[in-house]
Amino acid sequence: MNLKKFFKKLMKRKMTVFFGVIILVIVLAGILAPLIAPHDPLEQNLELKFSMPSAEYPMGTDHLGRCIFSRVLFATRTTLGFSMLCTVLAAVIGITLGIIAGYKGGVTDTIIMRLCDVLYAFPGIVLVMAIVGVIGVGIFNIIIAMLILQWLWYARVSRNLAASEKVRSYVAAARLCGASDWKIIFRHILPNIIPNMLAIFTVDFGHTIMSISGYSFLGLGVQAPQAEWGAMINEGRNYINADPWMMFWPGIMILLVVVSVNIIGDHMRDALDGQSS
Amino acid sequence: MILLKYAIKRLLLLIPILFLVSVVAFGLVRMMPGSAEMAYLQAAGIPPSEAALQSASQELGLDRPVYVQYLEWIQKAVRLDFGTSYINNKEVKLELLGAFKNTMQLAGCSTLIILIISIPMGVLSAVRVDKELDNINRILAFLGSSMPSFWLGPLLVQLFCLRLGWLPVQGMGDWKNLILPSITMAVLYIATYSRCLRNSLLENINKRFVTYSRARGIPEKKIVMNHVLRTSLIPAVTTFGVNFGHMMAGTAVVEVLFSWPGLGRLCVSSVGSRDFPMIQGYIVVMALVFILVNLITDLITVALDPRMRESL
Repeated sequence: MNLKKFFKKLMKRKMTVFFGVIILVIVLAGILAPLIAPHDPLEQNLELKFSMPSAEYPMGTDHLGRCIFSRVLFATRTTLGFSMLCTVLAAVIGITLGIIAGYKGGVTDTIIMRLCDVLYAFPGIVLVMAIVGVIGVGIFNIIIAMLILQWLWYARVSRNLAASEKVRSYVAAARLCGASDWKIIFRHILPNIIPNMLAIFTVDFGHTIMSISGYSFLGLGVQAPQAEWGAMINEGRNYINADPWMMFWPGIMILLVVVSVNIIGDHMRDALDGQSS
Repeated sequence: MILLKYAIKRLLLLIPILFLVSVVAFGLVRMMPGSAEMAYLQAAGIPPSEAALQSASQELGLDRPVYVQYLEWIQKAVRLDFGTSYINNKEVKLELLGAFKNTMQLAGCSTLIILIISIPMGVLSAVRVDKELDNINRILAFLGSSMPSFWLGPLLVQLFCLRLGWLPVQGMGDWKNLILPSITMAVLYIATYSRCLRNSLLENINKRFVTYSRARGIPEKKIVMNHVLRTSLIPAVTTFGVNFGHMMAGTAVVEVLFSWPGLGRLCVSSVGSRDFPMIQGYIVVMALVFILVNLITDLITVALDPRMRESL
C-alpha cells in the first residue's frame, strides 16, 4: 500500500482526525511556547507560591512561584522533543539494518537477526539502569541506553517486509531496467514498507513518551529546573497536599498525548489489516 | 522427547545472553568515567589521597589483569556474591534477596488483581462484541494503557489515603499497604490482557468445534467457559509470561512512589549514589529472572498447545 492510499483510508475515520488534531494543537503549542507562555518557565516568585489559577497564572503557580501553565507549555518541547528524537533515531537505525538484512540475505541477514534475538531477551529497563549507572544520569544518556534495544522492533518487521518485497516481480523488473541496489531500495522497497513502519513508529512514540517521562520522574533523565512532564510530576508529588494541581496538569498532558497516539496507531494497524484481506 | 530437545536448544541460546549480561555487569566498574577507586572513596566518604587510592586499589583487586579480575568475579557471581555495598557496607546478596522478596510480593499481588479483573472483562467484551460493555472496556483499555503510573499512584494516594483515610499512605507490613501499589501497577496490564483475551476469544468463537458444540445443544455459557476460554487463554499465558519480567523490572516507579523497599527502588537509589556492587547485583539478578521467566513461559506454551510442537 502506498502512503497516499494509506492516509486516505486513515482520514476516513473521524476519530483519527479528531485525535490527530489534538496532537497537532499540542505540538504547535509547544513550538510556539515562547510566544504563548505568559511567563518565563524558570522565573521564580516566592511571594506568589501555590497561588490559585488566575488570569495571569492560568494554572496557578508551583512551590517556587513559577507559572505552571508556562512550565507545562515549555515541557511539551522537552518531553515530546526528546521522545521524537529517540523514536526517530531508533526507526532510522532499525529500518536501515532491517532492509539491509532482508535485501541482502545470507550471512548479513543471519548476523543481524541473531543480534536481534540476543538483545530481544534482554530486559530494557535493566540495561538502562546499568548504562545510566555507569555514565551518569541525564537525558542524553537515557536516550543512548534506550536506543540499544529500541531499534529491534523496526528491524524485525522491516526485514520481513523487505524480504517479501524483494521477490516481487516489480523488483525484478526494476533490476532488468538496470536499477542499482540503492535505487531499488530507496525508490521501490522503502515506499512500500513506510506505512507499516509509520504504524509501528506511532505506537512506539507513545511508549517512548511514557519511558522518557518515567525516567525523568525517577530523577534519571531531564534534570531540574528544566521543565519536563515527568520531572514536574515528581516535583508536584511532594506538594500534593498544598497544591494537587501542580502534578495534575503535566499528567493530563501525558495522558492526552499518549491516548491520542495509541488510538491513531490502532487505526493505522486497522487500515493496514484491511489491505491484506 | 521433542519438548526436551527444545528445552536444550533454548538453554544453549542462553549462553551468549548470560555471557553478555556478565560482561555488562562486570564492565560497569571499568567503563565509568574516572576510576573505580575514586568512586569507592567518594562513596565511602574518604578523602582521596595517594595512599588511600592505592589501598583502595588493592582492596578492590583492581591492580591485577582484567581477565583475572573477570574470572574471579564470575566465580563469585554464580554464587550471587557481589561483595559489600559501598554505601553502608552491608552484604549485597542479603540486601538483594530481601528486596527481591518484597518485589515478588508486590508483583504477585498485582498479578492476582490482573487475573481477577481482566479475565471477566475480556470474556464479557467478547460475548457482547461492539455492544456498550465492549465499548466501555475499549475506552478503559486505552485510558489504562496510556496512564502513567507515576501520575495515577499519587492521585490514588490523595483520594484513598488522605481524603477518605481508608488506606495507609506508605510503608509495608500490613496487607493494606499492598493494595494501592498493586492496583497502580495492575492498571496498565489489565488494559492489555483484557483486550488480548477478548481478541483471542473472538478468533476462536467462530471455529468449527464451537459450531459443533452448539449443534450438540450444549448451552452457550458452557461452550464459552469450558471450550473457548480454555483455548483462548494460551496466547494470554504467553503474553503474560513475556511481560512478567518487564513487570518485575518495571516496579521501580511504583516502589519509589510508595516507598516500597523492593529491587527497583534499591536500584534507583544505588544508581543515584553510584553504589556499583549493588548495581552489578541488580543487573545479574534481574537478567536471571527475565531469562528464566521467558524460558518457562516458552516451555509452558509448547506443553499446553500440541500444535506448537509440530513447528519446532
